[in-house]
Amino acid sequence: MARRIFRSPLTVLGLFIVLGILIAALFAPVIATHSPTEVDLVSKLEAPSVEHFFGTDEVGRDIFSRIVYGTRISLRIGLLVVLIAFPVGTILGAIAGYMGGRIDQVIMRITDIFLSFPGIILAMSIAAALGPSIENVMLALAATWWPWYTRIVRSSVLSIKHAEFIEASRALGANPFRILFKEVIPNSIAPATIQASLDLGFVILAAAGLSFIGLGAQPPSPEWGAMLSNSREILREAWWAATFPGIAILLTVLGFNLLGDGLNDLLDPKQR
Amino acid sequence: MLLEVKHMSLSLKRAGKYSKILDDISFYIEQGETLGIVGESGCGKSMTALSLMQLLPEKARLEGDVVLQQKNISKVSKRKLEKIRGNQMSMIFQDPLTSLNPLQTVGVQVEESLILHTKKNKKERRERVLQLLNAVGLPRAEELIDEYPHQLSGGMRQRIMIAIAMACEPQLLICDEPTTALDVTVQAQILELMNEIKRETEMGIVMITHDMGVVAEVCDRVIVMYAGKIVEEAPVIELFGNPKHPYTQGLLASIPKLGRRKEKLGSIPGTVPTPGSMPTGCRFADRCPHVMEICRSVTPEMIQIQKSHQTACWLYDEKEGNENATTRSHELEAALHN
Repeated sequence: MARRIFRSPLTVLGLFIVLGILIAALFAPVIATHSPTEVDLVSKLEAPSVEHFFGTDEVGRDIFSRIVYGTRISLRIGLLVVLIAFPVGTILGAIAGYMGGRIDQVIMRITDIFLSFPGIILAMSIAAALGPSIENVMLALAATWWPWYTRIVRSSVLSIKHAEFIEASRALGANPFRILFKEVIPNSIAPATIQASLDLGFVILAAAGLSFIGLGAQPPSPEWGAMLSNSREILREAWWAATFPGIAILLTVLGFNLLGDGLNDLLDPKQR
Repeated sequence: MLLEVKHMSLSLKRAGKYSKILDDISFYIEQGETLGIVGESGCGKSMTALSLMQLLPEKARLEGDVVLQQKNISKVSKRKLEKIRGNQMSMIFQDPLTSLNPLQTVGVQVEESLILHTKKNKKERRERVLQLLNAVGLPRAEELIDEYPHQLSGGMRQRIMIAIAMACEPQLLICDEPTTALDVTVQAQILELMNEIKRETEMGIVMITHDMGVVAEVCDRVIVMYAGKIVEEAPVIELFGNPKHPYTQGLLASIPKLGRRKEKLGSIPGTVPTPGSMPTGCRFADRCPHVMEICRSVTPEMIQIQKSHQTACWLYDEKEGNENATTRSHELEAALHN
């Protein structure tokens, strides 16, 4: 398994980016050179230098340190949203696929309603209704993300529902609940897991987008989307204020995507 | 009597219409007896097995009674069925490669029915699992417990399936083509194991197969099925020595025999009619070499040929059990001329 990861250079790249982000988040206080929120008007709008690697913003905060601390916020959003949406979507999808009939109809029509809105618009309206904060952004994103897992899990449940080992389990006298959690879900969860690893990146991107339009993290917080939003007005004088948070978002999404794709190839028996 | 099946019929819904898959099946099994159910693909053998277990697909309608140890299990609740399945009656499936959960270790899967049906604690369960693995002839049980199905060969997996089915010492074991997916040499080992289990326990076995060799090896009594109906029933020696129904005769003629190369192997022309397009009268009529007028219009009833030998064919007469084809067809011809 490990050897196969290293056969694909893109997966390795993804792995390194994700590892880098994890290290940045875990050791933020060690890596950051300044406080992420300390205002220092004397050295405002300084270009990148040895003192300030990525320069400073309009109130003199060190952009490098802010980006390093920002990984914590972004990772937390990505992980929590996926950790809420994934089990909810998986269980609903498994129930829909395994039970079939009317239960299936009801669950799938509800997911269809959620999927019929463009995700970001729905998230925007939920976040706007709840009021701007990071917690509400997470709630809003989780509410728009679960239907995808429901769909994926349901379709893979349908494909293994009539497998002989499930029939065999029924023949042993296991009740439907036990079969669902011990046989059906473990055997149909792989595609959704891969989707989840891809989604970590997309959730971070969406959260940055919501913060950019002012619905998420609020100003002093070193959230990448909010940093980008702040830098709009000073774009002509200070290119660095927008560029580095942008690159951070780009790398994060790219890293999770490459890793997710790599996992997909890795876990797909047909591509072995 | 261990199991009695009375007038069991099964209909499945296809394209909005119910079509009969099993038509008025009746049979019984005594304790310690092995009953073979044979027939071609699509004749309803597997559906019979699933019906006995009450493991039916959605949109299936099952009529008639299945009585296991004086208890009519076609009338009990789902909850009670779960208590019976795996405990009083177990099933072994056709393909050991797909009937084990690929994500669970052997030990966990053998343990499953012990968890479901007994109050044994963890240690006792482990002991029982080891004992079962030894009983089905698996070596190094201690290590095997922690291995996954993909690490094992087909024969080993089928032994594990048998161990799972035997875990709660059921009174009735239903085997749905247990050797079909295995190598010939492994088949022989599994059949030997089945015979051993039979000798040691007083279990009744339903052996579903299309392999006459398997029937000869393990069965005491045989039911021949064709297109969802029972066409002949006889003790195994009687059936091989004195097959009555033309379909049984055809089946036996199609077995290859060692050392007889030149002889052309018998085959039965045509295929089993599909449910929904069943012919009236005898369902075998279109493929039968002895077909008569009456076969195409009236369904033959099961008649007693000898003690415990029955068949459903117009060629035979209830009382003497002799062939009466000539007299019957003469009568019919006369009737047609008038």
